[in-house]
Amino acid sequence: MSPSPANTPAEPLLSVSAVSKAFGDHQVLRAVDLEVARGEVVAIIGASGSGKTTLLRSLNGLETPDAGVVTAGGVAVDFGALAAAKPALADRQRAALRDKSAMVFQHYHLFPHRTVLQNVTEGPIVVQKRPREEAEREAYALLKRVGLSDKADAYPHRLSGGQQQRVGIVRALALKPEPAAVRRAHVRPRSGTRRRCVAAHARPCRGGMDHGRGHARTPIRTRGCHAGGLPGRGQRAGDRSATRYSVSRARSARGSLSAGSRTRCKWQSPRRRRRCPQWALMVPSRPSARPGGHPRWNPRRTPDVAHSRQPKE
Amino acid sequence: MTIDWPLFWDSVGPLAAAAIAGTIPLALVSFALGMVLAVAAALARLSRNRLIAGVARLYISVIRGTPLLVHLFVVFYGLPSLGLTIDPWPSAIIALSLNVGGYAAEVVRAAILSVDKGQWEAAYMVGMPRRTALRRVILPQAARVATPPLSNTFISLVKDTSLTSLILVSEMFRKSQEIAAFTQEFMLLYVEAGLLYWVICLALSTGQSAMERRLDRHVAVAR
Repeated sequence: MSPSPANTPAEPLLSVSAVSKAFGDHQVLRAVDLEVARGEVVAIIGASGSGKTTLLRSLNGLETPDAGVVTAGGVAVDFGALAAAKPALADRQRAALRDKSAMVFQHYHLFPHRTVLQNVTEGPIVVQKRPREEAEREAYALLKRVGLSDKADAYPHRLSGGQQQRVGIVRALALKPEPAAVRRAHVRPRSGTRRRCVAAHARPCRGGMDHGRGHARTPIRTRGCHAGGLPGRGQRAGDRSATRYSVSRARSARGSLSAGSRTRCKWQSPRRRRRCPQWALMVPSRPSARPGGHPRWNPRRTPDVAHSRQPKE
Repeated sequence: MTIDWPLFWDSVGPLAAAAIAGTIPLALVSFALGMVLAVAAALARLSRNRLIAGVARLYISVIRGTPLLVHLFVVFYGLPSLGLTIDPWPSAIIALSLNVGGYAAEVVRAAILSVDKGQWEAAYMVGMPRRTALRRVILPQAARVATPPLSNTFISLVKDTSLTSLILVSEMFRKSQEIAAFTQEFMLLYVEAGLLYWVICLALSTGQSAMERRLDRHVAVAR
């Protein structure tokens, strides 16, 4: 974990500069810039095929952009130079980037041959070499927060889609990604669960996510859209060939997220406007300065998450 | 034609003993070594290094393109002319392992490729390097896919060990030849040997089903 530079507000925890990627003739990302500060929740919105996935995958080194620099938690990877580098070196750079982030996949990709608990502790034990008891204790705590304590020994195929997704979230959080957890919001858990999920992530300062369609109802405040440096701003929907998306930002107030308005996107049709971002990216905030917790989320009323305080580390 | 039942029952013992002392260990050892070769060759074929991939491709092509009997004869009768004399047993193990390696490599490669790409990505996301991802995530899942075709390979191998009788390995078929030559009861002894191979293979099929059930236990499988 990299120390304090990330704590100064001016320093973005995650930054993307001039990242470009083309698949054959199709230019998916055109010099994208993005900066995310600590405590910010960013939703990336756009029509399908507009490069949202590609951008997020680039942050985790799963996609190798043709050019551009991604900096996460103090690790900078220049993808332009990477293309010319030896494969082994390139692998090492991508691995360094991955150490700083975590991701929840659209189709979860849980390990089918491992139990829920093993899925969650795989990274901490095998990769991060942390002691088993500690990793399992933390895994149980995280599973409890998403209401899956009783599923720890189940295999993924026994879980519903929503449960699998929550395991995916917990697996990502268990890695303690310092700057950002990135997540594809797709399935929409029922609202109670959703709120719990969001709360589970948002409050204790590890990274998070935002949920699908119900975005407006999740306790995240968005401040409208602005296409900070992203290409295709204001382009009309329907022009599917062009790269366009927007970033909607939510600044969390003092580390906890506040209830808010719905996402607005200028170019989307009125019907689509109500939809929520398909992608969300959240950077952890510092631990909440509001001891009572989230205004709309009352832990005392939801027994399942009554003990959801972040355990002392 | 009358069946000489006393001879049949008298010869079951020696044949079974030859199977237990010859055929079965030969098959097991060759399969174990062959699988090591097969996994190595499969990974080599999937390697980014063109040279390594090319060598593996050549190996697989040669093994699959030439008869097992030729391999056995080259190792046992051919190598001595190059000054390398190998006993029947090691020769048989070398030739059979190389053979299994070549065939199973393609099975293993296909099984590795059949694992969802998302599993690789999830493993990378968790922070695993390629090698760890392969060992902890991909190969366990590939094993499930590879079991039925590899069982096929193993059953073929058990029967192919009979070819080693031609390079003087004292396995079951050679034993039946010896007894048949002595008693002149060719039909009886060869059918009996065939029956014993069949029994061994039936046992293997049962083992295969058990193994598949075990590997399928964490996966929802349509039956």
